[in-house]
Amino acid sequence: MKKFKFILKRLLQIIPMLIIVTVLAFALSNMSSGDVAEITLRSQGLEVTEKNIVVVRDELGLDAPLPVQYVNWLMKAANFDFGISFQTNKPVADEILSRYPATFMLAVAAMLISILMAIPIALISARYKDSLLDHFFRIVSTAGATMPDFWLGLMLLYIFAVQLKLVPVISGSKLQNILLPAFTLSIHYAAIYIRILRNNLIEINSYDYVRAARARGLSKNAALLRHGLKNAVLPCITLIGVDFGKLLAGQFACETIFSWNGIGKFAVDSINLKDLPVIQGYIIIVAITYITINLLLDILYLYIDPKIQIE
Amino acid sequence: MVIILKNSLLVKLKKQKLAIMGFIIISVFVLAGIFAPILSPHDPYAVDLTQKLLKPCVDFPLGTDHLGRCILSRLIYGIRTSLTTAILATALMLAIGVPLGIMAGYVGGWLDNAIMRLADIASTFPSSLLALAIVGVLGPSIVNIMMVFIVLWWAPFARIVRSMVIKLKEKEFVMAAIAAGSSQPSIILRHITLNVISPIIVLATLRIAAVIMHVAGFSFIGLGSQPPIADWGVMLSDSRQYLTSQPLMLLWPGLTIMLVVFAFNIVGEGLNDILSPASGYAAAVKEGDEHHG
Repeated sequence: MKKFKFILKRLLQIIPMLIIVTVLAFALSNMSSGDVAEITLRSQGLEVTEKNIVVVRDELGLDAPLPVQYVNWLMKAANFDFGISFQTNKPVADEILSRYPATFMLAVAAMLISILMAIPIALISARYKDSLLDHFFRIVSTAGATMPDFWLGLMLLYIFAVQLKLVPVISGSKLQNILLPAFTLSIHYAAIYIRILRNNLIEINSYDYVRAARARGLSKNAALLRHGLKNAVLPCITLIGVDFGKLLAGQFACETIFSWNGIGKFAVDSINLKDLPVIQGYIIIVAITYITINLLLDILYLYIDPKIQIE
Repeated sequence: MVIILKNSLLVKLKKQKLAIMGFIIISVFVLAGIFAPILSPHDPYAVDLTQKLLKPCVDFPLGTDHLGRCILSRLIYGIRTSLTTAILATALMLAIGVPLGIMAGYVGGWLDNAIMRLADIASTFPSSLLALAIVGVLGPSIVNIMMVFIVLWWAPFARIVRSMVIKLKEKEFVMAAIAAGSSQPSIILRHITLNVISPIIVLATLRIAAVIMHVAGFSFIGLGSQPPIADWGVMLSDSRQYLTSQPLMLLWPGLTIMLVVFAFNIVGEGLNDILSPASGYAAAVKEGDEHHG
C-alpha cells in the first residue's frame, strides 16, 4: 500500500515537468524569429506570396488563440506527429526514431566501458589504500572528471585518426568505429564511479561483519570480493541509471566530433538550420525517455533496497 | 593516536598547498584577463591570411590560426569571455537560490513546499533540452546559454541554505535572539546568513568551474559564443577543420580550459576541507552557540 502511494506520488510529480517541457517546445514555433508560415512555404519550395501565407496559416491553425493552438499541437504531439522536417522533408518522428539506435548503442557502449574500467580500478585502490597505485588512480580520476569531453574527443580523433590512421575521421555510426566515441563519453562517468566505489569499499571494509569474517580467516581479497563489491555497487545503481538517461538524451559534442549519426548530432544540425519541428520533436521525445527512465529507477529501487524510506 | 593526528594534519596541509596553487593559477588568469590589451602581443581579431597556420615563433609564441590570428592573444582575450560569464552566472544563481532558500527554511509551510518542488524540477531538468529550447527561440549566444544554467542551477544553493536555516532555527542562540526581541530581518541577516556563507562559497567555487566547462562545450557545438569572438569553445570548434595542418589550434584552448577548471576545483575542495563541519566550521558554529547562549 505504501509502495502504491509512493508510485502514485511519483506519477503526479511528472505532470508539472511534462507541462513545462511541452510549453517550452510549443513556444519554439510561436516565439522564434521568422514567420512559421513563411519558413514552411520556403521548405516546400513554394512561392512566398500573401495568398499562400494565408492558406498555410489557415492549414497550420496559426490564427487560433494560443491556448487552442497549444492543445491542438499537444494532441498531434501525443500521436508523435511533430510535422515535417525542413532539412529532409520527412516526418520528424521517423527521422528522430531512425537515429535513436545509433545513440542507444553509443550510450550502452559508453556505460559498459565506464563500469568495466571503474570496478577493477576501485577494487585495486581500495585493496591497496594509500599506496602509490591508489594515489595514481586518484589523480587520474580527478583529471578525468575535469576533462571536457569535447576536447578529449578531438584529441583522440587527432591521435588515432589523423596521426596513427587506425580509424576513419568520420565514424558514420558504424559499430566497428564505436570505440573512440564511447571511450570519450565513458571517461567522465568512470572517474565519478571510481571515486564512489572506492570510498564505499573502504567504508564497508571497516564494518563489523567484514572484520568478523576477516578474523575467522577470510583473506583480504576474498572479503573485498565477497562482501565489499556487491554492497558497494548496489547504491550506485540509481546513479548509473540516471547517467544512462543522460547518455540517451544524445551527446551533442561527442556525436558531432565523430560524425556519429545519432539524435544529438541531428539536434545540433537542426539548430544550425533552424529546423524547428525537429527541435520540438527532439525535446518531447528525449524528455519522455528521461522521465520514464527516472520513474522506473525509483520504482526499481523500492524493490532492490528495502532500506529506502518512503516519506 | 599521535600518528593519526599527524597524518591528517599532513594531509590537510598538502591539500591546502594544492588549493593555494589553484588560487595562484586563478589570480594569474584574472590578472591576465584584466590586462589583456597590455599582455596580448597582437590584436586577437586581426586577420592576416599571409601569416596563417604558423608554427610557434618569436612573433607568435603559440602559433597562428586559420585566419592568421595570434592564438596566444585569442586565449588571453578568451579569459574575459569565459570568466565573466562563469562568475556572473554563478552570482545570479546565488542571487536567486540564497533568498529562496532562506525564505523556504525560515517561513516553511506551503512556501517551503512550493520552492522545493521548483528546485526538484530545476535540478532534474536536462540542461541540453533547455539549451535547445532557449537557443531555438532566442538564437545562439553566450548570454542565452548562461541563462540556461542560471535557471537550472540555483536549486542546490537554495537546498543548502534551506537545510542550514532549518537547523539553525532550532539553535539556542537564534531562539535567544528572538526571545531578546530581535526583529525578524535582523535575526536572519545577522545569524543565519553569516552561518550559511561557508558551504555556499565552496559550492559557488565548484559551480564556476562547471559553468566554464559547460559553456565552452555549448560554444564548441555552435550554440554559445559565435565566431569571431575570442572564446575557447569557438577556438576549439575552429580547430576541427585543421586537425592535420595545425594541431596546435586544438591543443592550447583545451589545455587552458582544463587548467582553469582544475584550478577552481582544487580551490573548492581545499575550501571545503577548511570550512567543512569536520574541522573549523563545526567549531565556529559551536563557538557561536556558546557565545550567544
